[in-house]
Amino acid sequence: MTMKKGLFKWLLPLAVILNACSKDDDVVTPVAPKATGAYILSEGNFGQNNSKLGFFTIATGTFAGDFLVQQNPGSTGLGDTGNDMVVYGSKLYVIVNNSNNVKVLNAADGKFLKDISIDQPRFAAGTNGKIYVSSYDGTVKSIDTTALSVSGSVAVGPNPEGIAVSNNNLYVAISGGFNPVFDSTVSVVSLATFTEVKKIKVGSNPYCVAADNAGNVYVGCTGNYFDINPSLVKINAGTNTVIKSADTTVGRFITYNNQLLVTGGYLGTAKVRLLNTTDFAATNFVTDGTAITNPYSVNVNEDNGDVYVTDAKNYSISGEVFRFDKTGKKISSFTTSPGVSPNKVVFVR
Amino acid sequence: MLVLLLRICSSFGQTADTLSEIKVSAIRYTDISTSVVPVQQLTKDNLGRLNSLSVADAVKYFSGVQVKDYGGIGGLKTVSVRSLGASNTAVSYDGILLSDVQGGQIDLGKLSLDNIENISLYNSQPTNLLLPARSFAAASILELRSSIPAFDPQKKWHLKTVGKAGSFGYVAPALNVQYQPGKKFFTGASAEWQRADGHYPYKTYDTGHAIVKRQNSAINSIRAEYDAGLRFSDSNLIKLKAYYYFSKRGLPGGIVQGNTSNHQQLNDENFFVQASWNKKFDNKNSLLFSSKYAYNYNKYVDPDYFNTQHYLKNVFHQNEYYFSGVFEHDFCKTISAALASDYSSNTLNRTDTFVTSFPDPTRNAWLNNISAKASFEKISLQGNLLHTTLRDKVERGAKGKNIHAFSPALAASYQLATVWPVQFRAFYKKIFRAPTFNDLYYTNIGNTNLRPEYNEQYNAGVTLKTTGTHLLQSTVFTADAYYNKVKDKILAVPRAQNLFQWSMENIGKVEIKGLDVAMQFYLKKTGAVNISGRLAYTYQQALDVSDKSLPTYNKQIPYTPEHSGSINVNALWNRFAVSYNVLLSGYRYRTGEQLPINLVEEWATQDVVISYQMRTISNHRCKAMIELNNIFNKQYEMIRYYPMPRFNYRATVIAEL
Repeated sequence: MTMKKGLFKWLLPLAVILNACSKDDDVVTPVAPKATGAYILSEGNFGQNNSKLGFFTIATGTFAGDFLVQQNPGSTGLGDTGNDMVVYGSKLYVIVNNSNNVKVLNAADGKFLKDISIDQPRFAAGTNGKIYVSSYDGTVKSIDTTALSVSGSVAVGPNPEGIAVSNNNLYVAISGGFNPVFDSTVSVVSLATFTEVKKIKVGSNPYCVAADNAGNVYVGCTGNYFDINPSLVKINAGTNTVIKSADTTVGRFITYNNQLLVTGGYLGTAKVRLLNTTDFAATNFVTDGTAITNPYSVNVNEDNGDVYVTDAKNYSISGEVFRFDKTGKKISSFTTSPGVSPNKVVFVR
Repeated sequence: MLVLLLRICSSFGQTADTLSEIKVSAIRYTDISTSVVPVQQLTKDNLGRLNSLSVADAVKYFSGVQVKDYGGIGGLKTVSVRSLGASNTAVSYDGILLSDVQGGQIDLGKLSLDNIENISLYNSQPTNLLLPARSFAAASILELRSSIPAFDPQKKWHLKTVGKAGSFGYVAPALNVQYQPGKKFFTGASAEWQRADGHYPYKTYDTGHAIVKRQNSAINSIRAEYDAGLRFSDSNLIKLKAYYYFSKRGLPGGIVQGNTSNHQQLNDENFFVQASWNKKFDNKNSLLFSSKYAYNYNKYVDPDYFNTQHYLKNVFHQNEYYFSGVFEHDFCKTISAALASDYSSNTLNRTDTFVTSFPDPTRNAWLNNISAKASFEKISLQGNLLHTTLRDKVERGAKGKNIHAFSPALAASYQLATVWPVQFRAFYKKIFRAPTFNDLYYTNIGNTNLRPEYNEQYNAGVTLKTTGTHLLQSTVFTADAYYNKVKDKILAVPRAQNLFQWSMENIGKVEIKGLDVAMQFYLKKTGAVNISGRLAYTYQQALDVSDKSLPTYNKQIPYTPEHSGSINVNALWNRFAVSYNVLLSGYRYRTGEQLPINLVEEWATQDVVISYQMRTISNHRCKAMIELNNIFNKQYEMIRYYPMPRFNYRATVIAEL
């Protein structure tokens, strides 16, 4: 066993390259307990208070479009523009941007626990008993998961977006998206001291951030919509330096099995792609020709490798969620009605 | 009992000053039954009885009209006629169009009724030929006329003061002075100040449904107008008008769960000066020259903006130079034709520092129109062909496409018999709206490849006049059915290549089938009481036919009720006048996806106006009026999450010397 692990480490670069088509059972993935269902967050339309939290039951294939209100009768719902959510411990934290709220629910049944007020919250990550939430006010807040209240704040830069944990640091995309000239940095915040330790220069207008298991952090940069192209940047979290950058459009993405599973425009069409973490070489994830109008986010059920892709359509009608097996063949799809623009899938186990 | 008759004018020329007209015993509506295209009109006298503060409020009583009202006194109010979209409704003030090349929509909430003599809404276009080419260049046109005094040798000076006060801190004094030393010259000035804190109560959308007050809804505005006229003879008139408006208002925003505080402010400044010369050479030839300079300024400030300064300011300046000449020749009593030629130059500049570059576009427009009409005993025919050339110039970046287009319109009416009061009418019009500067050049969203948005209108209608000796003494009934098509509708859509970016695209298609029905009636006088009224009903099916693959295909376009209507009933008794006004709107959906979550419920408001004409010494007039609005204290929305005011009142005193 030790031999095998050592061999695996030595072979890592090769394994990474070959992984897309490898069926090698020796690639170690953490064994996740079986997921019972998936929460689907739909952001809705700005100003319309129509953010929805739905729930998909895997065993029955049924979807409850307004699960939050169903489980909490009389609730007025999530509010306006739910942007992200995380399951941490036994709780689900839903980040509701324009309602200035983090809604805490019991992950198992969606029962309401608490509203935590944070100004214009955007993205969240959970680690070490804390939920870290980026806020458009230029800070990252920490939420104590026992007390369920804000326990700290650190200034990171204008309009932080995505947030990821690696090497005992937080990596926060600083978009500066509200300024005429966008920002182009990632703020590194030490979890030990909860202070910013470094700013790393990336592409213009960074948005989504994800960490892999090999000590790398990936940052998708949107560009300035004019003459600076979107790009993808890879950071070594050990040295906090950029080790690769390439022009490619990525929206929300995840790291999985030493690959990036990304949504976003690709040669003029919106596709879900698998990117090699070394050279960002891309293959289409979808192998059976399933058309997705507007892939908006992606997540993997780690117990069986099923991939869930959310389709935001035209951002004004009910979205759709596509389930694929690990080979990119469609299993099924369901509408998120009345949820508009589904942007996050998380699994409950 | 003093009620004033406004001239029943089938030609829809300028109505004369009400105060020097004959006194009759009912509230009169203008006779609109003989027009070759559908027209609806409200005179000053009607307007005084319609619980209306701005032009937007008054227009709600017209059929075929959807007013988008974001609530309160300061909120934006735009009007879409027959579902063609607000950018397709032109608004003219004393014969010359108000223009806004930036957003393309005129905010009718900014236009006060204080100095308005009458409002007419024409589907297609006015029927008068001696008009600038621009008046033919929109799908429908809302004409506003300010009061011009008629000469009275006994009374060279005319002074009117108005004081208004009401709910939510509303105060609005106004002053109007007119001087007419002789037949040849008149001059007049009016000024009005309006303020309101706009803190109206509404029921929250939370579970508790507590009553709270609307915030950031205040308005403070001033308006000043100056008019002068030089009448060399009855056939030779020069008119001059200057207009200034300034307002500072809060933008209350929608009621967002957990985020109800808004501090955005909008300052508007509108100035224009316009002059026209109307000369009839003989019975056959007439000329109308018009020119205008307009300056519009708007400043938007958001102190909650999440940029580094925590503050956003957008400052835009628009300048317009406009010239128009029209020549009309009457070949004989039945046939006349006119040629009109307009040139305009519109510039938009941005002077804040919150964008890295703005193209500062200029649009030069040349419009040429040829029109003709023939009026026989039973048949009237009218047609025109408009040619438009638009060219944009930019200081930096890409520029919008040039536009060259011919746009035709035809109208006809047929009277069954000269003695039988039934008339049939029909019109066809094809016209477009050019992409606005916002559509083309808005930072990150604008798309300089846009084409014009086209619409075609087909209308067939009937008008019927009856007179009787029974309870219904006289009625005027109009019904018009229409079919409209919109193509290349300009909408914001996400860009395929880049999911984060939205862009304006020529993507929408709409098919509209509608019916507008209106009836005016006068009841037989019973005792000392005179009753008259107007009922209007609109049916509209406005289907989105843009994309078969979407669930919104063949569904009603957003915010368009199938059924809507209005009721206005007036009773006069001695010095008292009471009016009862109802506005009705069926349910509609916020988006094309007809889910319960997108439903905006039906609403109806019931309003009452009571006025009393006081007797005063000598021939001075004094009138007191109280308006009770939304008497059943209903909370309703025109736009989802923009609650409208519940019960409110206004008191008005008008004194005239």
